[in-house]
Amino acid sequence: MIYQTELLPFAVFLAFVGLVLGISVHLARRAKSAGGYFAAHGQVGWFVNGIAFAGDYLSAASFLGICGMIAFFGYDGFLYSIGYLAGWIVALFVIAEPIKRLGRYTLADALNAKFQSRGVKLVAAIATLVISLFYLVPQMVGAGALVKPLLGLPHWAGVVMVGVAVTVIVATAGMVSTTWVQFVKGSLLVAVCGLTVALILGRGLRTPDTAIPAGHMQWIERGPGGTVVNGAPLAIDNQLDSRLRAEHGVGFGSVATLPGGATESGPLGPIGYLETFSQSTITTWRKSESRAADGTVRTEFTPVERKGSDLLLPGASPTFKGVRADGLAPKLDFLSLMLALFLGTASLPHILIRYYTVKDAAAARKSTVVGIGAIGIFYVLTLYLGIGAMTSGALDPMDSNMAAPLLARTFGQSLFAVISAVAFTTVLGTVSGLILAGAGAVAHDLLRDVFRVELNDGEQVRAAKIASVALGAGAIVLGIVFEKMNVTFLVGWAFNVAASANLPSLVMLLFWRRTTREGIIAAMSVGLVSSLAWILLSADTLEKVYGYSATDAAELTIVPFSQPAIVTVPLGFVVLVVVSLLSRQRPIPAAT
Amino acid sequence: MQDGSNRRTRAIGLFLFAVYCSAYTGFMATAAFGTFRGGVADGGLTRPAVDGVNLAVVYGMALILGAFALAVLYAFLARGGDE
Repeated sequence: MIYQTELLPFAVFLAFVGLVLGISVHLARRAKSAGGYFAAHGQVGWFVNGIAFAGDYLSAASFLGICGMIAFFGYDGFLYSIGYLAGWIVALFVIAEPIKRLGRYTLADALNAKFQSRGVKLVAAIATLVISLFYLVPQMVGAGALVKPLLGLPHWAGVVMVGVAVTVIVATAGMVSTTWVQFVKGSLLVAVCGLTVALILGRGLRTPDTAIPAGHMQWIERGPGGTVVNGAPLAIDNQLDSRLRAEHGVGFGSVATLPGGATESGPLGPIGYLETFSQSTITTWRKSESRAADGTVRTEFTPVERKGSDLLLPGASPTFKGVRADGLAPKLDFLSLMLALFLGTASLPHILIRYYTVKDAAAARKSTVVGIGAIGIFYVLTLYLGIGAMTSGALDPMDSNMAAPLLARTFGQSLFAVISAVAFTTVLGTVSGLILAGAGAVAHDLLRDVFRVELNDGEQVRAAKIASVALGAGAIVLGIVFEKMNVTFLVGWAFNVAASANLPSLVMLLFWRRTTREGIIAAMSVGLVSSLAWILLSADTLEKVYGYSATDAAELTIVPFSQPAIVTVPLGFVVLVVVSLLSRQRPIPAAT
Repeated sequence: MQDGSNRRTRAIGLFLFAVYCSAYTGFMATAAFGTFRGGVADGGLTRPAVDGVNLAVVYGMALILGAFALAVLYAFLARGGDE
């Protein structure tokens, strides 16, 4: 699709980014010391910290990826909402309070609190860096997706803009500015999504002016000679949805029939909306791709009418197709991803470091409850946002990540402007947290504690700022390389790695008094390496990253399913127990 | 006293964690093993639950809203340990 720059969205975007950068510069003076830079002096109020949790957590994957997945495949995107929120239960009931008591600035601090081991610090710092980079990729891809319709700029420009803005935020004021940026972003995101859902319910569901016939086809060819859409060169007035709009008054994604043959439902309540949707038939689009000898790729889209009730069941997307398959391996793939989402949240370094910004364990608990409230509201809204996009007639069939902003545009340029700017701020907030976690791992854990570089307080902060710039540059490169991948899919990887590398050690350190430093080092190393290796050798990666066909990928892969957590998390626990029992270290008292 | 409060808070947390784990496991098991037979939707999450909305949606919403309800309950029960 070609997107044109509009003045209002551009102005609102600039205002939001200006606000965020202004906050950072204003707060910079509060982050001169390591305590201020890494943990905001532990003085953030529990309510602000709770909303900042939402700001940290509700990333581009949640907002753009989940809405896009629901818009394209129905219920499957909502499975991510369920899993992401459920993960906070582990954080609240198992991890939050003990981790606050044990740690200082980083995950490695907590894991190493009883051992004073360079080995534990080294492995924990490496795990933090790897997980943060995995999580950074989808955020940067989301940034690129956002600037296309907002500013009419190419993907890479959005990635570079986010990279530069985030580096400024983190390099100026660390956790102090990051916290307030996330507080602003978390509040705005929930509020704007709530408003959008109110508009979706108010508009209800409606059918197009004329029905789209079954044999209808739209196609696009991209090759050395340029891009051709439906036989003519791609242009503002000849895009993928141009003919569809001219003939039927609606773009991609629409209601085919409503219950009782109605043409529109009128305003609906939250339950009535879902009930009406499940009794309707929806026009979805099947995509098929072929490649010619000269490298030209032809993509065809044909309409497929599906019952709303079927779209409200799991298993329609490639990611969760295992739910509907008969064999055990596909079902284990589904269960493994849901397990990773459940266990991954409490293992994410950028979430864990937020427990050090409040004053005590009680504040950690209260802020988690506030975070669960704000995040829970948002995830309930995602189902309506996704269905709203699916039936809005405004989907870009080539890019699922664009579903939410394009849905907002159907309600006018103002909402589109605000929602795109909030989404962009969303990316800024999450990326800030990730880069800060990575910078802490480099400056505080690796340089100071592992390599024993003599750093005073100010030098530690300076080292962290330099590390942030390097991480920001790395994130920009990865964001450009992974442009075409659905951001939610990528986040699933980060959760698998986080759960496999960190969770066994965190849990056993807190609950098993015979845990030894050798056990922790071994469990983290095995969890990290095994989950990474599993992902990189999986059929999904072979197909979506290395470019193999689905058939070749299935033949080449050496792992039975693509999501590793169901194997690699238990493996981490087993390794920790065995190595702890074998290592001759005196037992340590269990954490209280 | 502080250690006793911590132990009580931890016990409450682990009990509520077990409650939620059971609900989450039930959802995953129903989705994976109780909803499709031969690729065709049959029972399980397809069953209508509230006003024609199927169990998949209602169960999913309940897991999200239930997490918040348990979190509030935990904060209420654990408040004694903060004093």
